[in-house]
Amino acid sequence: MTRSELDKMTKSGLLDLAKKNKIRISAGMLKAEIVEAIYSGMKGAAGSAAVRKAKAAARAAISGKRSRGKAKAKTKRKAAPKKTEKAPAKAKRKVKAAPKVAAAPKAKAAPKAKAAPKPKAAPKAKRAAKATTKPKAAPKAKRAAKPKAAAKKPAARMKAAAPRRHDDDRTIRQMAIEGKYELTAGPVTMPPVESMQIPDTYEVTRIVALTRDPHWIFVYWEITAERFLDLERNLGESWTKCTMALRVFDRGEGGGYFDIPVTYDARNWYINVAPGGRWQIAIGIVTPGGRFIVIAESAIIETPRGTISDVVDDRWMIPDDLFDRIFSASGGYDVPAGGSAEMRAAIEQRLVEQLGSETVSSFGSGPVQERPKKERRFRLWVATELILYGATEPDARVTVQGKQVKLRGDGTFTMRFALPDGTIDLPVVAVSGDGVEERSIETDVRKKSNEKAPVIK
Amino acid sequence: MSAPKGYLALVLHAHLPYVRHPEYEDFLEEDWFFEALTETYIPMIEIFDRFEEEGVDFRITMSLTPSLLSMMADPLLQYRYLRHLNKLIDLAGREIERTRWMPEYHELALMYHWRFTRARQVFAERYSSNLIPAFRRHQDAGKLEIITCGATHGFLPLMPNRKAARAQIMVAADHYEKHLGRRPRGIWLAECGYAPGVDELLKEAGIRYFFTDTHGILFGSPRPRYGVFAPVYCPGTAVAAFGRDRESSKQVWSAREGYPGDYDYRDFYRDIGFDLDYEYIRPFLHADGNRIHTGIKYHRITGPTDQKEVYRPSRAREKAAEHAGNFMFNREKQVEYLSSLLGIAPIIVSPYDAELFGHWWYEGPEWIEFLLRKIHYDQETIATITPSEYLERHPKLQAVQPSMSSWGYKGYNEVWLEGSNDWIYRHLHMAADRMVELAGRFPGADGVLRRALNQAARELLLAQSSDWAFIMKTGTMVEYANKRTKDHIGRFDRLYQDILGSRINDQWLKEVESRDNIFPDIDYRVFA
Repeated sequence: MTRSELDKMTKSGLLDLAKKNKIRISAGMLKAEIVEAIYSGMKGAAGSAAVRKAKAAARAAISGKRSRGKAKAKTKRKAAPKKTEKAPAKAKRKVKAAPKVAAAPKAKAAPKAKAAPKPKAAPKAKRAAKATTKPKAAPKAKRAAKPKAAAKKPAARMKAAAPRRHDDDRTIRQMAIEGKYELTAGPVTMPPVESMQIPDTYEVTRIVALTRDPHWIFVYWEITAERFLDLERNLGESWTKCTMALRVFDRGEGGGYFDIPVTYDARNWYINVAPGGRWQIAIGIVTPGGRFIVIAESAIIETPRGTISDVVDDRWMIPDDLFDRIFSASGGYDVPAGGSAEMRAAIEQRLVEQLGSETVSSFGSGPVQERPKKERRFRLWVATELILYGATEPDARVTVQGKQVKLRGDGTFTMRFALPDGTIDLPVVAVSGDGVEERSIETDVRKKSNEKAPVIK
Repeated sequence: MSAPKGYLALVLHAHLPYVRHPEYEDFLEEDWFFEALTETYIPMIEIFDRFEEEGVDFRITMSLTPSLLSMMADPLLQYRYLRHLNKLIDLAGREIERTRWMPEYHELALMYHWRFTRARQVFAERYSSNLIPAFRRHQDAGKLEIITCGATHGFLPLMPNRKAARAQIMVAADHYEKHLGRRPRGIWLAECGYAPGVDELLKEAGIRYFFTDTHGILFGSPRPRYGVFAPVYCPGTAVAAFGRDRESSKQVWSAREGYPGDYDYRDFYRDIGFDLDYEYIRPFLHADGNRIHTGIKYHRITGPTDQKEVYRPSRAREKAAEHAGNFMFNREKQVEYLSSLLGIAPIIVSPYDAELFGHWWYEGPEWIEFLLRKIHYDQETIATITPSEYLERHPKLQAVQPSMSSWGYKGYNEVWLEGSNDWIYRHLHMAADRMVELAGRFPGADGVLRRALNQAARELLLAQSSDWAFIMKTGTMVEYANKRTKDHIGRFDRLYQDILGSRINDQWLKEVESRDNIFPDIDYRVFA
């Protein structure tokens, strides 16, 4: 719909249209403002951004053009000479911006404009570029070019203006840039996700071993029901007397193995082993006769040595005491006296003890700052805040303690202050839109809090 | 400037798990990303921009993990971040008014309002809502070296399926190239988790170096001639391993002695989200109405007391400068001592979680700025360096097989493998094996089958984030970590069954694709 078509509609028709398109209209908006809000809202930047901008634009329009508004609009026109001064300035900038967009081949040209101009012209150019990125300017130019096509298919237009799909990269980026920071129309929320169930078993027979540290291995296993049935069939009567065990094979130089009895319902185990070794773990059945029947075997895994290597590279050889000094410096320690094996062992231990103890993680827990511990879990604290609220005419100018206050569309306002001890004067002054009348109300607030020493009963 | 006596390699590991929930209007855990943007990533970009403008020479290394890059590039999250910032600015604006009669607080409210507005300007205007080109620009200028990380921060020492571990690396390297325009030279292994053999995967991806914790090098074999003060080559692959320096990290990390605990610094826990009247703060909370950290905090650490005093930014800033000076002085002394001990110019590798700076330690970014500035202007003993530059200058290194290690508590894998989280590996491993099986069975799928296979790869990768195991262990937000693990494993399982049963539900697949949309260009054959 073009602006003139909107202009021709009645106010209630406009309100219906706004409702349909989920465009927010605040109470007390003028018709011109509503038109503007719908006009820019249907283009995508729905919500408060559009409303605010619409208001500004509409005011500019009102003061410039002949207004077709009713009583309210009239009071506005009468309103203040100040406003008419401001408005043309705003309008001017917009006019300036528009042709630029029309000339630019694509909307993307805007950021380029920022970079292009000569150094001296920079501040000016920046402002111009900013203006062009305002959502209103660009579509205006576009729409002006194709008013007929647009008028023909209002339904299609509304569809296009519907909330964007989140995966449309270009659209959202553009929205972010064009709509500046005023993002109120969110992307569609996807339907809730079904919670996934994970399998309890995978119907396989296997055992997997993982190294946890130099001294510990973790194994988990799974044995299918069929496998158990097979075993039962093969072992016959002795099956009931069989037990289950993990057999830990030393695949390093030492050789040998040891067994760990486990229950039938166990599914994982932590195994204590020697550092610097190679290990293979089997899960199996121990028969009454002492035979071990393997059900599954893990891959061979290694445990780290966890100490300084005994291997010395003869191309990079240095005296032992020098190595000790380098080693302790690497650990962040002072140079130790002497160079005995004991001393080295002591450093090794300190190094390992400190491992990772200083690290913190970026989220979850793990703060750098220690949280103070409370002696008793009891506390009381009290703070006071003061809420000041009131109402005047929407076009009035209100100050509280000399600072101007933002009014809502209906002329109401609310402020909230943290209230320290002491006395506070709160002069509220309102000046009518036409500048003729001034009213003021002064409130004094006194606050005093008194904390008594705690009583321990 | 004469040749420096030694080098400092500052490494910031920037990572967050992939959290994106289009199915909710807003989502608590997405705040992790938003907070890190406001408090860490944007301030870091601003520092780099200032250095560029002023001609301050500096070198710094940052890992930007594929999941973090994906979030930075995601339009929905960009949009939601702007929305989040708008709310913060609104709140800060109300705070300015509310604190009118309390000048000390009023000033802070003004500061927050300014900082949030500034963040919005940098994010939305200067960088059009996407920070990746900003980081890339500083990399291309040769000051910042960006390294990659496992595709979803998968913890490699607990990934027995080699092809699955390989996929973490390959997907990451391709993703890096897509976003940063070249292959990654280095990698931050998730949680510094290294196990012998990982370097072979890195070599295949063309990655030249990685980092280990101190004992990864010190307990390597043969004995490292220079301790952690020179990198070593992994035997057979010649991929370089840089070891973490303990002394410099203790100065920052240590809960007791570390800089961030200084009494003048901002207190993390006191936040108006908890302190102010519920009705007032309610519009700024999430839908559940629970009080949360808003990011507006008015107090300093003060001391071991509940009676916190008001934060004074200027005093904190002076402290940050002082601490930067102290850090630099200590590095100079360290380098002087080490160079005499080693006979070469040592490299001191100081890695930190990036989010420590700004998020936990509010003045952290200022500290980094002071530090780099001082190193540039005030001394000639040390120079900052990136690992790539170091390797170019010092190509001859000792060959040492690093030890299995991580930078987690106790130095190995325990944080990610203990009572609270060991249940996940049964599922992760099965999914990995099955993914490899699928990739072998369908070497040239197309159409909906191909999409299903690619989605299965995404679900597996998302389930592999070490973050879930970590959260389960730390005990906060556990429910979320459990849910994420189950959801991704569950979706993988359904895809696996549907693919084998030739009954892929296109509608459901589409939904899952739009939700778990990380790595849009993934090719499932990376698991073959």
